Amino acid sequence: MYISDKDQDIRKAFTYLVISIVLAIAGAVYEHFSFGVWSNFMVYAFMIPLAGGTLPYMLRYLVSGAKPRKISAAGWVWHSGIATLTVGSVVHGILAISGRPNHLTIVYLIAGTALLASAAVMYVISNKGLSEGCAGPSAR
Amino acid sequence: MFRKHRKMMAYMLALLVFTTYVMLDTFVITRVYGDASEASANHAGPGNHARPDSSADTSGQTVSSSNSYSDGNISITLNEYRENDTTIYVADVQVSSPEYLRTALAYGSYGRNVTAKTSEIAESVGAVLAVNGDYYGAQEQGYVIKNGELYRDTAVAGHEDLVIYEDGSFGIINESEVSAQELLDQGAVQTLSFGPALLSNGSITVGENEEVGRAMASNPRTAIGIIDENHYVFVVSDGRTSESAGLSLYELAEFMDSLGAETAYNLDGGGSSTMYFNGSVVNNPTTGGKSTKERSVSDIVYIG
Repeated sequence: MYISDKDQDIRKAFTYLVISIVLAIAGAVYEHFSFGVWSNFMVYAFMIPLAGGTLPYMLRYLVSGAKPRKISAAGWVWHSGIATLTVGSVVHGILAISGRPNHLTIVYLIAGTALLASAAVMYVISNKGLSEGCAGPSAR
Repeated sequence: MFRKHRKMMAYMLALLVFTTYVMLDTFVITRVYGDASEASANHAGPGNHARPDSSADTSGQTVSSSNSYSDGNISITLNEYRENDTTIYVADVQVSSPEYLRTALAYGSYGRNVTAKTSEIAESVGAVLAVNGDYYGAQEQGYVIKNGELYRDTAVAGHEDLVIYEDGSFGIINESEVSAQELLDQGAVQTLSFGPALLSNGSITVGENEEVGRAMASNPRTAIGIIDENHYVFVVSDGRTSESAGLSLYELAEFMDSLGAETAYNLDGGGSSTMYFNGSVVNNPTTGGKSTKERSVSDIVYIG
């Protein structure tokens, strides 16, 4: 099914922006009560949804406009990857501030990166199929 | 809507479950990897540690008061200082043999999230004087040698440890440069892996802007130093309260230097900082500054 995602892109960009703002505020509050201890993972956790969500959806909206795009699974895989990296960054920050590192936090990085890579591949394949299959009746 | 997003919701649920497990693993789940061996076990100190509030014994046996202790082998004087808007407790210790400088594990067991209050551990081993140790249990790496027994030999690159040798001397080592087994072979009986080193060979080794775990604030602190042979200082400062602001690492190093320490090392601070002497906690341990409450820790350094 082919549908314009123009409005969807704006909504998603805005949602990611709100998440980024909430994270930035939450991180600042957490560190305020941490007796001067801070972690870059906590401070900059908001950058993940900002750079991985708000930015690409805004760019796609500006570049692609109303161009039809195929609905694919790449969307939720990408969201899951961003969520994984963001949660991992916050958890790593909490553990760093508490002075109690845990080797399990590497799982967030591995899983999040794998999900983002998979989503990117799925997106490329999906849109390549779109451009090949939507040439229109005049091409025949 | 739920059908459309069920895959993502299922993944988010899995993410939540995993995150919960990570937090429990870090802060709650107890894992005991071993008990202290009989040779190095937390032992009850010399049985004649009579600790009345005030007593005088002219026969040369144990003499103890609220700020001093003396028997045939151990002499401790406790003093209070006021520096940098902070109350600092200093125990000056002289022993006849370095065997009286020991460490103890919570419940005599080595593991993760195996903790007890400094005062409880101290009481269990009959310590005259004790301070919290390096909280080895909060870390997954770093050398752990307690009373001559090796518990963990995974190095943290570039990490500075305090080593106490069997002759009672102190040394500052870098875990990248020597293995835990080599330390044992060199006669190490204790390693403390928190840091940083404050003084080495009489010189301050910590920078003015240096801090532990990116903390740039004044905090309660615990430190140990050696003045000369069999002569040590245990130092604990209050902090995070209106009465005591706490010390930065550099201020702590300067204070240790003023006491005449040749080598001094920073131990776990913040809410962990606790000094136990003659049966009671002498400082004001606090985590948030709102209430005085001992934190449970994984190990202590004590005299007994």
